Amino acid sequence: MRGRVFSFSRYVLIGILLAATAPQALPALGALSPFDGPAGCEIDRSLFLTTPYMTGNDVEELQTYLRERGFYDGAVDGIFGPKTDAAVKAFQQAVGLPVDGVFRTEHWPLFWPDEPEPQPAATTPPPEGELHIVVDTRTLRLTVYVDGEPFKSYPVAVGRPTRHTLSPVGEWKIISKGKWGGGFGTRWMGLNVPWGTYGIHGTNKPGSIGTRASAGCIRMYNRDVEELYEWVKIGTKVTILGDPPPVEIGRPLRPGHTGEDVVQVQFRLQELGFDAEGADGRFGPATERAVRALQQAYGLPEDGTIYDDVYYILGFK
Amino acid sequence: MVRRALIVLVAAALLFGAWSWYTWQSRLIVVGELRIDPATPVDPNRRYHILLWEEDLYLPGHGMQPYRDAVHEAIRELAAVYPNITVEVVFFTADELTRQLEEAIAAGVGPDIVATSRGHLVDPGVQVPVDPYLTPDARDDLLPFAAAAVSLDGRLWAWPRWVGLHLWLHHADAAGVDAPEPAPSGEALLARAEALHSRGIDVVAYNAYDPALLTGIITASTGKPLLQGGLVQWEEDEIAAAAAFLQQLAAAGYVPDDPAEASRSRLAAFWERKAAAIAPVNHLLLHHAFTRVGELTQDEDGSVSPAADSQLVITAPPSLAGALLGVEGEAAAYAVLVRANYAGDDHTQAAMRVAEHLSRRLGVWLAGRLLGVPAYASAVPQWERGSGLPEAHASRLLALAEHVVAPPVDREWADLDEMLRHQVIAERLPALLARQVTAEEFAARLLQEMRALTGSRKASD
Repeated sequence: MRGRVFSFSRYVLIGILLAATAPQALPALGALSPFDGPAGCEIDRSLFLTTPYMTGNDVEELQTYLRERGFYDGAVDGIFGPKTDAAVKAFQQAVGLPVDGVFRTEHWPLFWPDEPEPQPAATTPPPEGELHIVVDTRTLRLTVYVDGEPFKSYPVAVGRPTRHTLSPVGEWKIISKGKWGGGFGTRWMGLNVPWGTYGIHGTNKPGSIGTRASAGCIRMYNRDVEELYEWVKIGTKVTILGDPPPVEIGRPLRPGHTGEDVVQVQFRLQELGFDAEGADGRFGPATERAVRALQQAYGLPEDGTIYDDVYYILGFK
Repeated sequence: MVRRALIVLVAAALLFGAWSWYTWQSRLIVVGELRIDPATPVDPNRRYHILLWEEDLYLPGHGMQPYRDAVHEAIRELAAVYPNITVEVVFFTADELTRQLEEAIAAGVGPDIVATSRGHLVDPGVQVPVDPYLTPDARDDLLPFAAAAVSLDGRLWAWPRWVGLHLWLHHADAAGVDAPEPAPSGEALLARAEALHSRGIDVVAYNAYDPALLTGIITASTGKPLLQGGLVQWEEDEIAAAAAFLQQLAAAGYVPDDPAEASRSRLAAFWERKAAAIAPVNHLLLHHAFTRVGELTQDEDGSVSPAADSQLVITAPPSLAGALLGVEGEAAAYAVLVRANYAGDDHTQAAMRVAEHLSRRLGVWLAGRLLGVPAYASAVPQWERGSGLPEAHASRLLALAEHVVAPPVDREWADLDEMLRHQVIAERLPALLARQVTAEEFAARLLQEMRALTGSRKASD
């Protein structure tokens, strides 16, 4: 009898210990990285304390704004823990919301009560000619070119400067259009980035325009994206300029491969004068032809793949 | 007495007439059914329209546009000397140029001038030989190796622009590379290989898929081209000796084991100092190498930055004969053609003047940027400045160019030469380096196949 009581007590003790450490252990188990999952755009959801903790760029953005306004003094780590929960409740109390610790999509504009979306001076007549959109992540501007000439420029928000939230530098095309709402604002224009879901869209965070705040997408004021939406067709070219991402370059590349390293290789091929017909992150026939032309010119074995010596010629090694 | 004087006068006139006719006849150039007088001048009162077909050329790091700009600039310069000559230029890729030219010649149309990358005779039925149009000064100015690369049966068939060479490149501090030596001997290379092997360094990082790896050694050792007059010039023992030399390097472990892997990572091996040399190298690979080590520079005033010591050394492929007898290379050139609807001897003269101007102007420009050698002696100083290479390398290139052995000038044999190299020799080379076949078997089978192909080509003539 004594042995059974002792065994039972031991299990109770173990259970108490586990329960006491769970809040610290669960984030490690449930949130291996704030950036797990496919790369890409905003996540439009309500944020609250839960088990496991919610993680993501939206949590990080929330923590940033709460911190800027003095409600949060914890780490801006993208993990919705108890400190973030307390900060949300303090913010809700300050702005007169029900204090329930749930930060909803419609709450974002409350961070900028005195900064409604600026009104346009006048509506621009639609352009005539071939459109090309160029987003410069260094100047935080989106410029519409018509037949190669600048037509109109808008301020934008681009991806946060972390490895997983950088806006995708490269040459893309519009592949979808829609009216989504919420965190995506009033309009959405999707891009053909092969490694994630990225697009140009409106926002419910007008105060973020002109900053590096998104998870990689290009945010515009709603009235700007509504104007651009009417001009753009499926297939319109979009070039995103910026510093090359800190991507590892050096794996053997062959037709069919996709990725940010493919984009960098395509850019470099074009700089050297071998036309890959765009830097879209897809190793397709045009890229293969450009690689073969380089191999032939330099007297390398011609097989259309990127191997060691090709990386040396491209200047990556 | 008067009658006698008249008879003498008439006889003198007849003799003079006959002599003049003979002189005129003997200088006429026969092109197809035409008899062209190369002494016919450009008529200053006539307007000439010259059609030039150019090949798009890639310039390292800059693509095709700089060359196009240079061609247009050269044409503008010509207008100052010949304001009545208009040059229209059309650019093609190399493959497209070959294809379109064949169709155009067959149809009796086509350009007045065509750029050729191998200096070969496009078509004797429509191509005008250049030597009757050379002034004595121009003849003296042409560097002998450049003239030889575009000559056939005693005639110059194109205006040479620049000469590219197939070379080996070494780390200067690799054991025993002697800078004055234009080509290492086979023995010296083997000795060097043994010393390097003890330090874990390969003597050369090679491309097993480039026939120049083997053909360069044969040419260096024999001075003979692969083909001449449609006949294979290399003997079986000459091929076997070069093949055996490469196999000796492989068997002793002086070069990488796996030809496929080695061929794709020879730059890696060279720059990581796992190999003392890299071969074969063309002008673009030379450009890459010298740019990478920072030895390809040019001051604002165009003068070369003198380098005290260079990190790299250029040589010919090794010679098994103890002395350098030949270096493989090609001459890019301009050929002047006539059309079925012949525009006149003065038109041909105008085309020749344009071609000569372009060959001089663009030849030195390209030779400097592509690390080739110019075709004219007067262009050498400008080339030495324009190439941006340290003086030692420029001198070495010039010295090696004197030994150049170019492909056949006759187009049919030039095409066959290319096919033999890139399909017959290149296909068999990896197996030789992997020691799947003996050097003797390799040489015997190679020669047999090459002779069969040249024989079948002759039979079909």
